[in-house]
Amino acid sequence: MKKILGFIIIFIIWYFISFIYHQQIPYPHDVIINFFNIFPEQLLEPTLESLSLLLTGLILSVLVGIHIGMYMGLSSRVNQIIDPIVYSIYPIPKSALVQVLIVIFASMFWMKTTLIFIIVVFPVIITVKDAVKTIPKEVFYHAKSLSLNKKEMYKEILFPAILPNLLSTLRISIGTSIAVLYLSETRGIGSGLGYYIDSHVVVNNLNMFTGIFELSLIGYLLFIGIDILEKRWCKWI
Amino acid sequence: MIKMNNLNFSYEENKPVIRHINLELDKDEKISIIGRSGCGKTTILLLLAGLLKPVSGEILINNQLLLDVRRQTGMIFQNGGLFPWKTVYGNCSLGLKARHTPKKEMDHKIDQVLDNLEIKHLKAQYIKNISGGQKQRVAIARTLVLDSDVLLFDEPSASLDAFTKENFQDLLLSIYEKYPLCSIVVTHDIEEAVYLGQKIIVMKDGKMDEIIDNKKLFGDKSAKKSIAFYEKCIEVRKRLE
Repeated sequence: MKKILGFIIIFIIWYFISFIYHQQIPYPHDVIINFFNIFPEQLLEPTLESLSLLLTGLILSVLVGIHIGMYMGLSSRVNQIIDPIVYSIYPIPKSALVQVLIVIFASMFWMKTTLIFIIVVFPVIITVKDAVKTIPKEVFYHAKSLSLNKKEMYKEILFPAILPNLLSTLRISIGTSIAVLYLSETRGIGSGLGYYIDSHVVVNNLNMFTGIFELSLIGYLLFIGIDILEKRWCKWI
Repeated sequence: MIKMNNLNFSYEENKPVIRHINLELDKDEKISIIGRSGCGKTTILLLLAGLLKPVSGEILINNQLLLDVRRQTGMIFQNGGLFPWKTVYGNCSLGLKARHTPKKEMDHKIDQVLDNLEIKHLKAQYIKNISGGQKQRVAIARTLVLDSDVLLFDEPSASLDAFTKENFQDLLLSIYEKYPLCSIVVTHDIEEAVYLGQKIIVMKDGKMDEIIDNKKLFGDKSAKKSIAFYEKCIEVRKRLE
């Protein structure tokens, strides 16, 4: 019920802005009707492309980030080596990397995936590292006294301990990833939803907004997905 | 059962925390260790648990040199050290699972121990949903299911309110009756030390300064109301000063 109220508020604001700027911004109902009309022919392909990029980048960065973060959290020596690398690369504006990655990668898919990877992996590393460091030493003592093997230690202690923080970081990173994905899709050989939106800026205002609506829908569904994972895996919060 | 021979330990060089400790404990002996903050009481427990290695000297448990963490030694910390992402059952079953205990046997064992500690009804609860006293019971339960023969308590009631503390101390006495084990309670509470120890060890500057015999008072739940109990408390206080 509260979620519906949230949507109602968004639509009220949208209608209000459309009413004032009706030349530039179409009404929500026009966008939604247009979305269902053009989705199979015009939006399906770019959507699948953008979604596969986003998911590949997110999955890769989570897998790599968890491992590096855990090693950093568990070993001060590893932490000392990797900390300067993370802290010096993380603050670089990721949009500045688009041109560099276009030069490096021949494949547009891997250029964009790498970009998303770079955006997400650093927050994941930092979050996981900090989460491991906050596990009370008594927990490790007890785990040690249970003689858990390495696999059990990761599965039963470390992974559950970092999971809530990891999911929060993913929520934040998804927003940034979508924004940079849009940016990267408008550069070089354009493709995906970003390119679709960009190519309709002048030609078809309604289609452009439908593309933006679709992008927001993808983001929303990903957030919902993370909420579902949290409810399933973090019942103890 | 437990033998400490000329035990020495320091976290930093030339700053000894434990100095020349010699102590022998019987199989089902219950002792209290009392001392001011920083006197090395918790360090002794960590050494006995195998979580720290002595700089010199040795610890023998059942005539075997303690070289690493020992499965039959359970340690209960001030805050329980429980796994919040697991239920009460999950906390108790993890050690048994790691030992590949069959599910049926595991469930039976956990039910029995939880029943003895009067927390069977909390089996499916997550740790955040139970009280401080109940958390300590879970911490004990998860070591008892592993057939521990040594229990080490690090200020177990320090974070409990007065009434819960009393209940917890009585619970410990009933555990002592039901389970044949060697127990060491580290505390800074004089009354608790007198109530829970057959012997009271007073620690000062990393040394065992005094061993006070308390066999006459130990095990009597009404002892707290007696004059002898308070006389013993005054005696311990004097030794601490």
